[in-house]
Parts: sequence; C-alpha cells; structure tokens
Amino acid sequence: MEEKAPEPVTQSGTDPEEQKLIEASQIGDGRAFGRLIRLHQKRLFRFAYGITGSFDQAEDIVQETFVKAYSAIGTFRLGLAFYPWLSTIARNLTYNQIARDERKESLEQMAEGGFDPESTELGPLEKLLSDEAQSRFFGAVMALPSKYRSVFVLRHFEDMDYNEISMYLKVPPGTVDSRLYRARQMLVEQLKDLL
Amino acid sequence: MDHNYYRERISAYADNALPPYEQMAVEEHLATCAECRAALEKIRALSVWIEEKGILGESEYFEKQAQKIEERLGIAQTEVTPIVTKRTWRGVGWKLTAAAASIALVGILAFYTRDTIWQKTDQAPAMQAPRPAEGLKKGDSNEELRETSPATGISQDSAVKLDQKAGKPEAVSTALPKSRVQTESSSASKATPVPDNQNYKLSAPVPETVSDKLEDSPIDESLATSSELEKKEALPARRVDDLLRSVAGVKTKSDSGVTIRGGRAGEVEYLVDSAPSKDTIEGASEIKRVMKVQGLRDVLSKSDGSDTVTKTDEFLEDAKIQPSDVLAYWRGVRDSLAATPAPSVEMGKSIVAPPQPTKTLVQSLAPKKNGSDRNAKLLEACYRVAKLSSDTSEIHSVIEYIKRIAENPSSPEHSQAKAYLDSLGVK
Repeated sequence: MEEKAPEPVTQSGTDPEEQKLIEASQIGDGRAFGRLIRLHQKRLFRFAYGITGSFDQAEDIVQETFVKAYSAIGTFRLGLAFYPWLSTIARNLTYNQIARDERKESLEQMAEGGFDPESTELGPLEKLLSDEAQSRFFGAVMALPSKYRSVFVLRHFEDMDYNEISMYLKVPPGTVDSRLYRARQMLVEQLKDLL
Repeated sequence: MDHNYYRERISAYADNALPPYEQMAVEEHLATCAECRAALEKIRALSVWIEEKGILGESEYFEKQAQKIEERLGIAQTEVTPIVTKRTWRGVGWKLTAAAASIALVGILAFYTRDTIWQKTDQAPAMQAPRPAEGLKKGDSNEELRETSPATGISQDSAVKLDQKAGKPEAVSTALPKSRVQTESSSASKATPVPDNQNYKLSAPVPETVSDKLEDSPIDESLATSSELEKKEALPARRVDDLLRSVAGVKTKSDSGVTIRGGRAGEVEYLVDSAPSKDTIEGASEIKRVMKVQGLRDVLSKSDGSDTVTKTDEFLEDAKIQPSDVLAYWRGVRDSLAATPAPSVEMGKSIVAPPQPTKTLVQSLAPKKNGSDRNAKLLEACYRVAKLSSDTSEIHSVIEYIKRIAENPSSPEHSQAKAYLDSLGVK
C-alpha cells in the first residue's frame, strides 16, 4: 500500500487549534489525532457516502482515509488546512468507485435523466439525519444518476471548482457544467417546497 | 444567442465559473429575463439550503466510528473514572511503585496460598469453584482474582485508575459488582476490610480485546496448566471476533454476532463453472451471453442443414448475438473435444506450446464427448472456427487439423474434411 502523502492543497484561513492538534499528532500524540478524527469524519463520511451511495463503503473509505493520514501525518506541512489533505486521500480512494458506477448506469437511464426519487432508500443513513427535510435532501441527492451526483457532491460537499472537478473526473469543464446544471435542476424540482 | 444558451449557463454563472465574456453576456441577459433570474435564485437558494441541511449532526454512530479507528491505529483512549458516592477510603492514592509492589505481592501470596480456603465476607461476591492460581497474571477478571486471592477474609476487587497525564496509576480498592473492569490487586487486600460505598463506572467501554469472558475460552480454566494459561495470556486476542474487529469491513453485534462485509459485484469476480460472471472488458454478463449461445446451439442442433443458415441468421437477429459469440461457441466446442493440445508453434529453436484454453462456461455447454460423433463434431468445430476467426495462427492450426483428416483415407470424416477445405478455399 502506497504511503506517500498527497500534496496538500494550499488554502488560507487555517484554524490555529487544528494546527496544534496536527503538530501534536506529528509528535505521536494519539489523543490529538483522535480529536482530528472527530473534527473531520462527518464531512468525510458525507463525501464518501455521496460518491459511493453505500453506507458500508463510506465507512470503509473514512476508516482507510484516517489510517493513511495517520501513517503519513509526519509529512503534512503545518500551516495548511487539514481537511483538503484528508479529502485528497479520500478522493483517491473513491475515484475507482466513481468509474465503476458510471459504467454500470445504462444509457437509457442517463437519457431520461434517470431520476427516481423513490429509487434510493437511505437505509442506515436515516439514523444520522436530524429531520424530514434533511432526509428528503439526502434522498434526493442519492436518487440522482451517479454521473450527476458525483459532480454535485464534489461541488457542494467538497467545494471543488469546475477545473478541479474536471481534472478529478477526467471530463471537460463543459461536461462538469452541464452535469451540475442537470443535477441542480433535478434537486430544485424535488425540493422546491422546501427552498 | 437563443434563450437556451443563457439558460444552460445559469448554473455556472452562479458559481462564477464562466469565462469573463460569457459572465458579462449572462449578466446582460439576466437584466431582461425574469425566467432566468428565477432559475438563478433557485440555484442560489439551493446552495444556501445545502449549507444548512447538508451537514450531518453529532451522533453516537460517529463517536463509535472514531473509537473504532483509534483502536485500529492503536491510539484507543480508555479511562476508568471512579464515582465515589460517599467518603473515599482512607489511603488516598497509590503511587506506581506501591501498585506494582502490591500486584507482585498478591501474585506471590496467591501462588503460595492457593490451597487456602477463601473466606467469604459480606462484601465478597458469590464464590466460584477454586481454580489453580498458577499462571494468573495482572489483568485477569474479577472472578479469577477473587477465586485465587488469599484467604484473608477480604474479597476485594480493585481497579486501577490510569491517570494518563501523570502516568501514575492509582490502585483503589473497592467491592465491585460483577463488571468488566480490569482488576489489579492492592495491598489493601491483605489487611483491612473495604468499605462498600465505592463503585466504579467506566467512562468509556473497555477495549474488547481484553475480554473477561473466559468462559468462552476453549481452555477449561479449572483444568488448565500454568503453561496453557500463559500461552493464552500471550495471545493478541482471546477470540476470533477480537481479531476480526481490528479489520476494516467487520461489524460486531451486541449478541456476539459478527458481520463481515463481502465483496461487491464490481470488486469480486464470481466464477460460474470456471467462467467469469462478467466480461471484465465490456461488462456484459458472461452468463447471459453463454445462455444466448446455448440457444444458438439448440437451433443448430435441431436444424436439418438446409435451413440452418436462415434459422441461424434469424436467431442471431432476434437474440442480438454477436458473431464473436458464435465464434466463442465453436471455439468452446473445439477445445472441449480436442483430445490433444493444439499444434505447437515453433519459435526459433525452442518449441513453445500455446497456452491451454481455460474451460469456460461456453466449453462446458459444448456437446459431450461421444465416441460416435465426436470426431465429426470436432471437425465441424474446426471448420467453423476457421470461417469465423480472424486470428491467422488459429486459422492455420485448425486448417492443418482439417488437412490431416482429409489426407487420411481411412478416416470416416475424410470426405467431409475435403468438403470443408474446398469451402475454405484451401487446396
């Protein structure tokens, strides 16, 4: 298994408390890393679940992400935000899943938009959601065709811009635009009474 | 520009992701188009709504997952915190050396007084059958320690409070109900009675790798020798599920059940009769394809020859079978009926035998070897492969086989082989 740390994304606005935790983790403080886990695991889980559509796979990805991060924590450059670095690890782990999901979807489903709000049950995720509105939101997101959902998740959950999404998914920026447009259209239609 | 041009760019405009000239063009359009303004507002409202509703809240689930990850990384945090309902027992805290010395002392006393009858006190929990003290070490369960402690009239279980910051464990004795707290003896066990006003409560669950469920152990503790117990103590885990829990993809249930997540269809290759269930390149189901080929074989076997071509074409069209499916079918027939491997291909001075074909589902569906028509079917299979294949070496090898039959007048398929060679244009 490759242990080389991914290049951290340069970001501004790092949290001093988080930096202290990272520094402590780098010198072997397990409790500090435990706090970092608790700070970021929910967001990572949301991303992994959004991409994979599977609760179990999302769990595995989150766990593997932190395992890899822990082993490579010494290479993390202090002064940078921690989540983008974690996210890069998680994205590498989920990338293969994206490619698999897109192959599975039929052309007919894609041509018709393939949107079936009733098609995807949230399952175990339901227990993590606070109210009906949140259930409807995640239900609507998970019902998106995977090509649209992956773009949506990367844009809204991971704050990636169009170029970053384009490079990650290896599709032209115009394709990112059109998929995101369709995803938003579908969600606006499904959630119009809540917006 | 028509309206759709702007409509399709509203989403990117909301993200400031358009080139400058397009951004300006959309802005100008928005000034005059209420529909696009409404669409833009909805997209922005969606983004804001996602910021509020898209965040997962706190949950016991996430805390458990964090603990699981910490366990896996070996940075699990477990703290035993005493809850004192009344006055604490005099004696205050024990320092590390006192705790270590008391542990050693009790261990020695337990060994030498193992035959002494244990006197039951009001505070002692129910006695169990005495067990040999040899091999018992620090960290044994409450039951174990009680049974092997010296008969000093005191039944005490003590817990060690680990002050992780100070690094100094405190041994505080108490009379405990049956619990999962690791026990270590204290020197108080040899002297004074323990007040019954102290209880311990775990602030976090004891890591399950240290199990006090010795009754689950395959070793009968009452009959175990010290060496067996020592070996058991040295094990990294007491049970299989302890090992499993350290692996990703394993869930344990409260009723001791273990769920191991299996492979997904996309990750694991399932073989049916040695054939992959999926075509790894095209993703099509091998089984479905083979079933179609099976149908083709049925059609061919029922035909009387004259309308075979017509029926085959009709079947191919209806079943949407590709020519490659038909070729695969005949290859399967050929390979399954071949008694000997295909002719070797000479490469330089060494002769390299072609790889043996792996038996696929297609081959398994091929007609079984039948002494009466095997050679005829094999001959036909080679002919069909020669007609359909584009692999020159394969064509060469099957034609060579047909030629050998054609040149053997004693072979029953001699004339048929000649007819095939004529059909193939081979002289």
